[in-house]
Amino acid sequence: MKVLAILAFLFVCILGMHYSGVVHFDFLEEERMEQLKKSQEVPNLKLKLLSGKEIQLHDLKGSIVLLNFWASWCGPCVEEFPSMISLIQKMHGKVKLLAISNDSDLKDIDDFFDRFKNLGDLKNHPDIFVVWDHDLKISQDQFNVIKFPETIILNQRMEMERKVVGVTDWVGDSMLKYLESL
Amino acid sequence: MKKICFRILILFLVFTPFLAYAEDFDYDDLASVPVLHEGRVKPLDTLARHFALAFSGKSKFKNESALRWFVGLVLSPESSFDKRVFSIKNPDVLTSLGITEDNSKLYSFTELLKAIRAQFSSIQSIQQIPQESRTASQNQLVDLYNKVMLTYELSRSLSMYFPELQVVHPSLAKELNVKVGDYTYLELLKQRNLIKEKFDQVKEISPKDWNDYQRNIAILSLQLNRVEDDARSRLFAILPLQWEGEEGLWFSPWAILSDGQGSPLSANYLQLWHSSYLAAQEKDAHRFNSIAKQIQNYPKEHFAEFYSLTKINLELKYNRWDLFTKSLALYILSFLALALSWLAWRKLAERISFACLSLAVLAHLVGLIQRMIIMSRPPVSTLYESIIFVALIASVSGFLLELRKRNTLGILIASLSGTILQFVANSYASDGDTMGMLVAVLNTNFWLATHVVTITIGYGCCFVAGILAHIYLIKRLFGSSRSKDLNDLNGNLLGVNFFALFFAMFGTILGGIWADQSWGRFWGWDPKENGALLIVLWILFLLHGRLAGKMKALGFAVGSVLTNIVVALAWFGVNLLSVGLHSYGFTSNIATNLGIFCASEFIFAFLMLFLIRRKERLAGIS
Repeated sequence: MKVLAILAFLFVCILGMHYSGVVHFDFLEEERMEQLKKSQEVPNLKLKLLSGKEIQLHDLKGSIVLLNFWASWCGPCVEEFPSMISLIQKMHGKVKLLAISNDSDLKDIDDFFDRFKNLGDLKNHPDIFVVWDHDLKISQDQFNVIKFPETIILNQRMEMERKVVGVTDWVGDSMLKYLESL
Repeated sequence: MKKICFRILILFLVFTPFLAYAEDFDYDDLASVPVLHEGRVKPLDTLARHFALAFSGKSKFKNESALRWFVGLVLSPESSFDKRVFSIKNPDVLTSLGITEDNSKLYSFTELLKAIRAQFSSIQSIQQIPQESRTASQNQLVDLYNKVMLTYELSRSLSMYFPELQVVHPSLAKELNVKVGDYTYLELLKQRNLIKEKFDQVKEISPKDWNDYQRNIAILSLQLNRVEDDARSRLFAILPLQWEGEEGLWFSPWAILSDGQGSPLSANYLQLWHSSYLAAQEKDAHRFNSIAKQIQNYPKEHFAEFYSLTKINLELKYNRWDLFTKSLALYILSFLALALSWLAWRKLAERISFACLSLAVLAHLVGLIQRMIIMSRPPVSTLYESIIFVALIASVSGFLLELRKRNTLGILIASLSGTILQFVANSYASDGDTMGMLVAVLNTNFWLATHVVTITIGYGCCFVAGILAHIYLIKRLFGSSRSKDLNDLNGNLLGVNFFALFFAMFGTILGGIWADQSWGRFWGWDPKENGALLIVLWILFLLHGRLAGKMKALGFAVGSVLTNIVVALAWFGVNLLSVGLHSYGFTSNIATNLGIFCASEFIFAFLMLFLIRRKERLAGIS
């Protein structure tokens, strides 16, 4: 019994010393999980633009890309669209918009752009690329996006830096600062 | 004859590869899939066992593993719903649900859902009653209802991939730009707004006037709503945070989609689950097994920074080895072999008994160390763990005593305490996962390692003293009151009480220091604190009495039996009060058992005292 008492006392002392930091036993330590994910490279998707031209996503390397998932029937998408366009125009090629439409009809996309005619010839803008994801292969199968708008910000190396869910002010100070920092 | 044998051999060799080709679904690869549940990332196997234990009272079923049942529930719910997994032992619950009692006491989801639907309003009214005012059967009914709902939620974890939306009317199919057929939620997502718009028009018409086209719209809209309700399904959290958010969050497939957490990584992972669903539906075992392997590897390759693979693997071993059950079986064997040694084959039976005990203690110790590593915390932090730990302390002390004395007394103490306490611990494990997360006040490893461990060692010593006292009293009643054995036993009893006092007192003081740091006061007359103090005062009373000569060996032994009552009240009894700051150990439904235990110990102690005195008076011993 004495042996047990001594063992028990030693056990308590060792545990106490470990948890107070006097000694250290690796196996008792909780592994520190690095919760901050490193930016992942976006898959190099083959995209067919509305203009009929085909591009690879990584062709846009060198610019910041807003990979925007939207639909013409989505109110919040309509709400944030002007500020997004304003950002693209303001950044003069530094930021490009890759708009993935989830509309079921091509005509709806045309109508949508017609509504924003006052912002310029958006369909032919050199920094705006529109893709009709008619079978949802990009939004759902590649990015698990089913609600709109959602925008993934890609840095110049085509790494996914951040995701913006819902409406945001793309020309607000904090967003501009953030984009400058990339 | 040789020729016949040769032909059979040839036939066997020819057909064996074809027999082997009949591949079965192998769920083992999915066992290590990490999933967040109740604040802890654990293997899918643990989650499955948790639900199996919570529903049926056992961590595996008669014909299949918990994992197989669980994966079946997620991937092919319709085939799982008829499995009898819900244990109902209270006939009142069955009566109130209108279910006929089954010999197995197990019931399926399908029959329970049907019964619950019929009794839904009465269940709802019971839910309005505060829990403490409900009868036991009402509480069990509500509990059963929650379990059935939980099962439903789990079965809808991947419902976005279930082809449940039916487009049967050709005109509707044309308008939706699809063919007539069954579609998944994701496949019809684009048409969702159109369907809703059409249903808004159909709603204007009375249902009895609906034509087939309108009925199809209404049904489709309802089906859409039903699947959209599944977005609340959060239990199957297999995906870690993909973007910015609260650290440590994990998401179910539905949550990933509806909370905007989707990413290429999540998409690939869910694609694998989708493929496994399709393989399960098509009963393609070969394809399923190959996808299961990919699912097993995917988190290792892509989410390794979010969980510890080492711990997941260790927990799988913990589940598979099930060392506590094995140690319980060995404790029982050890006791039985010891009992046999009293009747026949003394030497051999004693050796077998000691060997079983050694293995039991080893299994017990390894199991406890596994838990410590998996949880990264000291061995005692919940009521369940405290029982397991006290059992180990008592068993190790018996084992060491046996090593030293070689008179089988140690085996008796260790096998008895191991068996009894492991049984008690099992009753606390029946709620599910025994490795729950701690409430904030307890989550301080230093104090858990010192105060809680020390005081629990104190409980263990008291328990050993109690068993020794039982043996002393029985030996004294049936043997000579002046034998050397009895004197030795009394000496041991005194020694164990000293150690019990040391650890109980030291632990209580440490607890005071922790309370001072956590709550700003050393002592607050909290029930748990009072319980700890009561143990210290009781042992002090016994030791003072014995050392001062006011208490003889017999009285000291009787007092040591009563120590068990004091410890049981301090350990479990105060939890019944449901008051105080030590809220982690609140339990219910143990009052009867505790009462029986205390009463039996009390009766035993005083009956023995009476009988021994009577026997010795008659024998003329003073």
